[in-house]
Amino acid sequence: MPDSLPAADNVGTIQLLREICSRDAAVRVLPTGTLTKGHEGKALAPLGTMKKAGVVAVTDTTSGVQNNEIMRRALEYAAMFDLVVLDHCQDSSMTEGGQMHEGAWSLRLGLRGLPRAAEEVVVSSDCLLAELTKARIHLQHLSSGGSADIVRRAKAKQLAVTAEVSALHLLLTDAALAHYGTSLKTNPPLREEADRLALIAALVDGTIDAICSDHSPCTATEKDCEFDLAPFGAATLETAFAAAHTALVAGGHADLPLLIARLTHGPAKALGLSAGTLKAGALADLVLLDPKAAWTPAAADLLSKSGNNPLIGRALTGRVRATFVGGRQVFGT
Amino acid sequence: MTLILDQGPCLRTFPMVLTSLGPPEPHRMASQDTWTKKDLTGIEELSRPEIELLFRQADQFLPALAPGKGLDLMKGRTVVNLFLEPSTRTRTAFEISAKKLGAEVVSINTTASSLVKGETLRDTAMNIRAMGVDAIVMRHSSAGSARYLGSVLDISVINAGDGAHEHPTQALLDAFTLRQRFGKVEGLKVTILGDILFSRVARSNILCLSKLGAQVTLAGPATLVPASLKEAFPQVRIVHDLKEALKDCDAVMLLRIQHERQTTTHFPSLGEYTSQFGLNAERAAWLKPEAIVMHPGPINRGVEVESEVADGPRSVILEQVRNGVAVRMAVLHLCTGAISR
Ligand SMILES: NC(=O)OP(=O)(O)O
Repeated sequence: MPDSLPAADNVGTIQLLREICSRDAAVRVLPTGTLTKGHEGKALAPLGTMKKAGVVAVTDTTSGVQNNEIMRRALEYAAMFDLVVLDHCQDSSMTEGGQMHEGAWSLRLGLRGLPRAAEEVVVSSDCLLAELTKARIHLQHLSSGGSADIVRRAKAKQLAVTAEVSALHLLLTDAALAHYGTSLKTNPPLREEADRLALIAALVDGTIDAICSDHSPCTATEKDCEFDLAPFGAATLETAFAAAHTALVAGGHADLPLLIARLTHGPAKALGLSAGTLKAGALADLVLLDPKAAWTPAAADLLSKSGNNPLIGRALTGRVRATFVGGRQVFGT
Repeated sequence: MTLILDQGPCLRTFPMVLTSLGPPEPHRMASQDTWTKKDLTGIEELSRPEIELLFRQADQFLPALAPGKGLDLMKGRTVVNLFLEPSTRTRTAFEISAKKLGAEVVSINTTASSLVKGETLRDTAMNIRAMGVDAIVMRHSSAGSARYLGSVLDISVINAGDGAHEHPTQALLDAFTLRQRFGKVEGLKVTILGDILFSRVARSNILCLSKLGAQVTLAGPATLVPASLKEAFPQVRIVHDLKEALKDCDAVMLLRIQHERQTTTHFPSLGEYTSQFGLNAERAAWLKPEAIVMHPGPINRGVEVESEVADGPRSVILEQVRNGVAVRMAVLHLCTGAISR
C-alpha cells in the first residue's frame, strides 16, 4: 500500500520501492501507487507514469477518496491505462473519533463508533461511479453485511466491481474487543456476527472475490497504550490462511478448493494479474498447506517484527508449511 | 517482551474482610463479607454482594465525616490522585477520604505532569509505583484506561472516570444515597435524563442500579439517547417524552450536557435542549410527591436544571456529595486492603 512516508505518489518512490524489493524481498512485492497526490484526495497523482514504473493498482488507502467528483475523474483517467482503482470505503465525515464498530459493544465500552453506513454510503457511491465511468474498481476489506448486498446488486448489473474481505473479519466480531485489546483495533473495524456471516455468504456465492490479509504492522510500543491512542491495524499476514481456514472450512461454510480460489485466483483476477494458478508453464509460486494442523500461534512462532497479531493465543486450524517463489523455497516450518 | 492486552484484565485478588467499627447489623448475616479486588475499574466487574458489602463498609465510615473525626486504617499508606481531566468533587472527595483514613495523599496535576511531554501512561504509572505508592486514583479521557492500568500495576487502581466508559464511585454514591433515602434500591424506578451517549456516569448507574434491582429509564433527545442503547443495555426503557419519563419515577438523575465530548451535530443548541428537556419547577410537578432530584455535578444552571429545582426540597445533590466521601473511604479501604502485604 502506498501510504508510506513519503507517499508512493511519484515515479521516483515507486522505482526506489521496486529496487529495495528486488534486492531484499523473499516474495514478489507488487507496488501500488496513490490515486491522488499525497493521498490527500485533492489532485490526481501521475497515474500513467506510475503505471509505466510498475504499479499494479492505485489507491488512496485508508484516507479513501472523500470527493465524488475526484473519484469519478480518477476512475475515468485510470481506466485509460487499464489500472484498477482500489478503494478503502469510508465516509470520514461519519467516522471522526471512531474507535470500533458502532453497536452494542461500542456503547457499553464508551468508545466512539464507526457505523456500518459510513462504509456502505461509499460502497454505494463507488458502484454508481463504476456504472457512470465503466471503469474497474476494487472495494477493499469490506466489513459490513450491507456492503456485500450492494456489491451483489452491482454485479447483477454486470458492473466492473470486485471486492475483498480480510481473513480476520471472517473469524472475529466486535465482541472480541470487550477487554479493550488494542491488537484488535482495526479499520475497518470488526463488526457483528450477522456481518461476519453475511460476508462469508458473499464470499461463498462469489459476490466477494478475494480474501486479503489487510496486514498492518505496528510496533508493540505503539499498541501498548490507552485504546483510543493506539493506531489501527493488525499484523495478520502470517495467520491469514489459518484464520480464513478456521472460519470457512473448519467453520463448515466452504470447502478447501473454494478457500484456495479466494486466496489466489480471486485476488489475481481483481488486479488483472496472470497469477494464482497451478499449471504447466505458469510461475512456480506455491504454498504447501497443512489443513489439518491445529495450532495456537505464539509470538515466537511468528517472524513479523511487530507484535500486533491479535490471533496470538487463539486456537486455529490450518497452517502454511512452506512457501516457494519461482520454484525456490523461501519459507518453511 | 510483548504484552498481550486482549486476554482480559488480570486482576490480582486477595480476600479483604469488612472492617466493623460498630455493632453488627442484622442484614449482614445473609450476604458475602469478603472483598477480593485490588482495583475498582468499573461497576461491570462488581457483583451485587460486593456492592452491598461496600455499602455496609461506607455505613461504618459515615460517623467519620464529622469535622475533627478520622481513622487510622490506612496509616502509613500513600494514595496518588492522577487526574488527567478536570474534577472538583471526585478529586476532593478522594483526597478527603484518604486523609480521613489516615493515608498520605499526593495529587498530580495534569498540566504539570510529564504526560504532556509524551511520557506514556504505563511509564508514568510505573514511576509512581516505584516511589512506594499503595493506590492510584485515576481520571482519564480514554475509555478503558483504568482497566489497562489495573492490568499493568500490582497496586490498587481506582477509576475516577475513564472517558465515556465508567465512573464507578459516582454510581456507588448515587445508589448509596437512594438506599439512604428509600431504605433500599430494589424495586425503585429511576430516570436518567440528558446526555446518556457520552456519559460515564450514566453507564455506571445503569449497571449499578440494574444489579441492585432498580428499573432504569433513559430519557433525552434521540441523538443523545439513541434507540441502540437498548441493544447495549436490554434492561433499560428508553423514552423521549419528558412527562412520560418523569411521571412515575422515584428519582430523576440529571446529567450535564458534555460539550467537551460532542461534535455539533447532536442537538441544535443549549437553548433548544432546555426548552425540551430542562427541569424547571413546572415540570418537576409532574414527579410523584416523594420523588427526588439527583445530579452528579457539575451543574449547568439554566441548562439541564433551573436553580429552583437544584436548590429545592426534592434535591439531594449535596447529600450525594457528602455520601461520596464515605463511599470512597470504603473503596480505598477495601481495595488497598485486598492486597496482602
Ligand atoms: N460528579 C463528578 O464526577 O464531578 P467532578 O467532575 O467535579 O469530579
